[in-house]
Amino acid sequence: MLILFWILALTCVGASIAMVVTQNPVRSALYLVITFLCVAVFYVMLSAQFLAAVQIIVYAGAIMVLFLFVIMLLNLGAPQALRERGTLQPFFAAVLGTAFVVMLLLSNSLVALSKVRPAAPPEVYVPLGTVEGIGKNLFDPKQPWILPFEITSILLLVAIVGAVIMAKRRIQDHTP
Amino acid sequence: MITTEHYLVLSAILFTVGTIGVLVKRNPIVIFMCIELMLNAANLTLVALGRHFGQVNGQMYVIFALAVAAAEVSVGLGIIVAIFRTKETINIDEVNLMKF
Amino acid sequence: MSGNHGDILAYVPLLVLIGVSTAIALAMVVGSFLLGPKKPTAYKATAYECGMTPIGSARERFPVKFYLIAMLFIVFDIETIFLYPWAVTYRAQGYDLKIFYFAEMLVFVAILFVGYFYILGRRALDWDESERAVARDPISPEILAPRPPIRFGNEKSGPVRRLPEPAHVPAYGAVSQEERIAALTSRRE
Repeated sequence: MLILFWILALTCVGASIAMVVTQNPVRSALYLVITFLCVAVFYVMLSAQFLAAVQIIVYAGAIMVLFLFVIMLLNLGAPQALRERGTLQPFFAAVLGTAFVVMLLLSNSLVALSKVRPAAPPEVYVPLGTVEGIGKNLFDPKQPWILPFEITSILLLVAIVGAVIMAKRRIQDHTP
Repeated sequence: MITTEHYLVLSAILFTVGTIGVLVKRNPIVIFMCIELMLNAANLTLVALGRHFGQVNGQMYVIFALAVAAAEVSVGLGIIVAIFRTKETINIDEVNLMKF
Repeated sequence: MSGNHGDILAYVPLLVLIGVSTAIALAMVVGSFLLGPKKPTAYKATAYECGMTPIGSARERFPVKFYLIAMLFIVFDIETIFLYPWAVTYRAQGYDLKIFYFAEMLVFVAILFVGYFYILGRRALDWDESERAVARDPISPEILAPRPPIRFGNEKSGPVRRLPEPAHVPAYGAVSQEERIAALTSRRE
């Protein structure tokens, strides 16, 4: 399991860095798919099976298709379309990013976490995130998830209206 | 043995890469991808901590975060397309006015 | 490897499936690369476009309609994510809880149906931009402008003439677009 973790972690981080570094938006999208797939496998390892399936269906499937659509729609596939200017920015970004990671690692949360024993040893299978487990928790009247669930539908409604308005709007002349 | 700390460090690194991407890139679509990466890193933290405490609640948060992410992507990409149709460019440095 | 792996072993078939499908795909690509004869000509190197000569670049802009449908698909994809756990747990509940579950999902789906009817009302899923569809939408001026007559090259006596517009329709530019649309789409009494 540990070997699997390291392989996936290196793939995941490498793909995400490649996504930022590459100049071609289509390639970034494909690298992002690799990252999403690795995260999905991590979900399985963390006994969140339903989330893993959802991750692949929604993120790696639908959202990436949408990204590619927009890239094609705006015709940005050509790499010279948005060439980043050669500045020192990447260098500073790398330095600041390393500092940020170190800061996150030195923060108190990891120390605090080490004082709490995990409920189950990391390699023991616990049936947490099956479809059944999620459903029992999500729709149970004794759990606090009912209101968020209903509000999510309003959020999706707003997304529908926003998407339709944005796409159907025609550009009109303001000159009389 | 994989501990929860492994996952937390991994998601910290992923989050940082996403942050750098948001700051450095000039293509709003790639910026959106980096935001998605940051959301995924946060989701990974939630799932790992939920596993640590043996609770399913972390995964609940992730499901709602997914719904928010989908809504955000659909409206955000709509805005990008609208900007492109108005200004014929989506370079983030040239789109700095609320109204033209 | 220590501890109880339990149901994680249930994922072994999945792993085998992934492995086999990857191996088959790789074998096809590598096999055709190694075994296939390669005599490239300029004509063979062109893109295959159903036998036609390729026109223009493959990187073209798509109409916005495609992207709007993809966007709406994602929103309803999220809806199904909530429907799966609901459907799995619904039958296991007692009678009272079943009613509660049903009401919960009914409210959720009802609110999303408002969005669905909004999509239908705005005709966001329509493919044709025919006269009727155009007349209901805000109109872009170039659609309504009088077009130059189309020449086919085989005319004997000058270009094909446009039919004159009915007398009750005001000239282009004389009145606002809305009045012109109304006059064009309404029947003469």
